[in-house]
Amino acid sequence: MTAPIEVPGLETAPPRRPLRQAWRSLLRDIPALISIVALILLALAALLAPVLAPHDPLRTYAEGLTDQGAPVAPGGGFPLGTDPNGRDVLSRLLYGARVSLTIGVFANGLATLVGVAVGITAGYFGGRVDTVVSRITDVVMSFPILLFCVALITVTGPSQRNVVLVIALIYWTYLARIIRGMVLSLREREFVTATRTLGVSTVRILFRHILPHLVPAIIVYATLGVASSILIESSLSFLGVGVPVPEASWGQMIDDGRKYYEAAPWLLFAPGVCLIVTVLAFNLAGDWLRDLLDPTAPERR
Amino acid sequence: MSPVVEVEDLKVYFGRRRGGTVKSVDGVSFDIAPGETLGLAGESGSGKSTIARALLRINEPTSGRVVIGGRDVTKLRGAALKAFRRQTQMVYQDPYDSLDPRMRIGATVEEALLVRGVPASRRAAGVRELLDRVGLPASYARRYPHELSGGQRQRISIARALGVDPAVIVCDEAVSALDVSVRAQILNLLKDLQEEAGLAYLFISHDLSTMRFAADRVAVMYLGRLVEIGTRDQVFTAPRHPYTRALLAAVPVPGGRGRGPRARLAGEPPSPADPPAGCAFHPRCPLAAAECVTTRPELRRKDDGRITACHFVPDAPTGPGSEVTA
Amino acid sequence: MTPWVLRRLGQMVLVLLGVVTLAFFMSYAVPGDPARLIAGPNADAATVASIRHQLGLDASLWSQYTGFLGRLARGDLGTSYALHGAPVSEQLALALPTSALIAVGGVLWQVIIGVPAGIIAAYRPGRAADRIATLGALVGLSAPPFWVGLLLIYYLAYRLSIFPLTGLGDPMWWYLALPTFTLGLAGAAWYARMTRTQMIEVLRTPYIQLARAKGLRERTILLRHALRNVLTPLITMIGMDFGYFLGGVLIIESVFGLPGVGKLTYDAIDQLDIPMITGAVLCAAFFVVVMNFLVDLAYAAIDPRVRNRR
Repeated sequence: MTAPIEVPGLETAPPRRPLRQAWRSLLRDIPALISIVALILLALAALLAPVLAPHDPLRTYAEGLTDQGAPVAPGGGFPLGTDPNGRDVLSRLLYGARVSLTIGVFANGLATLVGVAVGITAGYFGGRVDTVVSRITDVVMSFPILLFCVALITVTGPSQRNVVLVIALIYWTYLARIIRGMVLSLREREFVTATRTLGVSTVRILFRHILPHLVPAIIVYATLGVASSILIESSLSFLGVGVPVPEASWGQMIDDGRKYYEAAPWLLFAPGVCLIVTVLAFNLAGDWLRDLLDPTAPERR
Repeated sequence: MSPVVEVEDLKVYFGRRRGGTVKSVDGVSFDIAPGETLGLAGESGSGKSTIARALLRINEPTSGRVVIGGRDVTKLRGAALKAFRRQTQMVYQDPYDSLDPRMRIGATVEEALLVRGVPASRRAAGVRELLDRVGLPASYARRYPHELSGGQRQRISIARALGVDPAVIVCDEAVSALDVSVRAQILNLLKDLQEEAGLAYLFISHDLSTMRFAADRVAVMYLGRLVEIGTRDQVFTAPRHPYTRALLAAVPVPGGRGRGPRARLAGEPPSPADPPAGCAFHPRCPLAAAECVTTRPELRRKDDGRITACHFVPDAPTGPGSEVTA
Repeated sequence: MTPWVLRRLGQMVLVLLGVVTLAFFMSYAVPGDPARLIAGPNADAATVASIRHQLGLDASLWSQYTGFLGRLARGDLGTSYALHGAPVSEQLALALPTSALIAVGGVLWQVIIGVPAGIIAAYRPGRAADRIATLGALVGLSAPPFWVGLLLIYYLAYRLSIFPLTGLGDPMWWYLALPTFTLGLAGAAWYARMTRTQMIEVLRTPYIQLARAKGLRERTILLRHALRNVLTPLITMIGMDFGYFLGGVLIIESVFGLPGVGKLTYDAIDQLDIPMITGAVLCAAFFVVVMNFLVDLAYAAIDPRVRNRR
């Protein structure tokens, strides 16, 4: 990840009516509006998977395979066809949404929590804490993300919990670095100095004067982070070290499908489209939030 | 009355990454009595702000003593430091940066009361009272800083400082960013508050006309050292140090001759990282002689009670620039 | 060598040591007994014990660590569990040229796709072209590379038979076209975004406005003057990405069946070949750290201010 970091600004007063302002800007940004709707539908699909799924996602159906043992094409009893094991693709997609969202949200939530806490500590107190933290982030960020995840999961054994932990273990460093940089500059702002010389306790300064300024950035990066966490999870599952096998995960469904793509291309399309739509929706939502919360946007004085 | 602030041989050095130290403040002594305003003048980079920041323990003094309210505050830590914080407050230069933009005015001011331990039930009234003292309606408590003008923001800064009931307020270029008309209002407010509460001010400014209006006594700084200190009238009507004269000569005087001898100060001040040997002012001084290059003049009380640091003061009753006196 | 370079070098060594330590603990923390794994399920306890001793697995943690460091210093990454005791470093060296080719191709595609997209977007910010380019970049960023790769294989190689399906052959670049494109497509978004940001920034500066006032053609301004601003960050990104890609592009190599470091790792995962995985991870991190250092060095050579910043 070498892109320039665009940090949402520090100057903002909290918006007067945050929800109304968000709604208005959403109406002006069609791709963002579509993404938010897509994300809501996705969350509903994941939540209601047991109700919506026409079949058992884990069960091999006798009628799910042709006489030659090939997957059944979309239509008929299986709206999106079956996979090489005779399981219903649509049902697996719905349950796969659960996996992707859960892992994405939990892994990234954990990473955000740790990253913000460490970043604030390193940035505000500086000194030795900062040096140690900076070196640790240097080391962790030296490993290519996916390769590192793969190695760690090979070592710890694949499970949903381990996937979450491993992604968090790597991603916190990225947020910690961003937050640290922001706190470093916030710390030197006069209003923070003024509060400190007033005799206000450090804890109160951190929670009342530093953290509120980080909230826009945290929201933006947390949203974008879910997108990359989901991508990593799907890559891991695709490589066979993600979510363990009987469970449905989009990445692993694509892996299943790659052996049969000549005969059954739908095995590639359906989970791939779900993945790209989900990740794109999170990314678009993140970009929209960035615009919304960025003080350099024209509507601000 | 015994002084409320006594600064003795204060030194603040900064280490630089690439070796060497910057002697931002190098052996400065002064005191301030209750109810008095000491002005601290000098060009930017002279170390004025560093003194302010050392007084508030924003920057750690390298050596020397800062006695405030009878107590050396340079070594305080923890709870004692926090307790000391309440005695000395600062009004900062940048009205746009010294208030938390994400906090309502009321909350900002209330924080001072919180620090002083005012119970929650009485804080709202306290905020109203503080706003009233700085001449703002109570309704401003609900506003955010960006809705206020620069002058109004400085009033809030003052209200916040008053909230902890300090003995000393440091005004570091507190009115420099304001329009002239607003500036006068804020200066008057500061004076009123001083009379009301017997506050001592350390008033830092590079602007001599403001200084003349605000200060009772004036200390002039050059490259980390005091070069002259005296009452306002002494310094402004009969400056002794050539640097003070040059500074005053650079100020357009209302009612004075249209084109007086201006721009006595040639060139930029030297870098505090690498100050000239001897008298730091010698490269720009019209009186400089061989002695000034080798020997640094100490800040001394002269016969007439004036305190200045120049080899030539006894011999130079008049000099270039003295005709500027109004 | 200036003190800055020395300090930066020391920093790099420190990070490398951290990387190595982390990799060691990772391989140490493997659940299960590697000796048992090698000996096979039917071996008796004595055989397992002798293999364990042979591998040095019965020594203390510290002596294993120092032994690990010592062997590493001699370029010895251990022997593969799965590949009949082949030295890991040898396997990596065999796979590296393929990964290097993929890395060069991937970086090239990133620049070829990303930079023009960024320029087009920056030309009239907020207009249709900008929106399309920005959205396109985001789509590229959001598309899982393994899926894009499989789609390309399905349509361009299988259905239309334009490109070879998988593997390597002659001419080499023909076989690498799809994999490197897939790789470049994902990263191009970052290049586009960076180019756009930098260009918009520079187009607002007075000197560009002066150039406009002088009546220079917009194309000249854009390509001659504004693009210069993009060069330094571009070099950084290319250097860093090259470092990342050299360590093997797991996904791309496994989808396209290319015998690079990534494929080596992928196979090692399948067989729980811990020394091979550790070796691959170390090798990848090594390239990242070294490229990072070289980029910093190049930066400092161009812009002396960098040396004083950290």
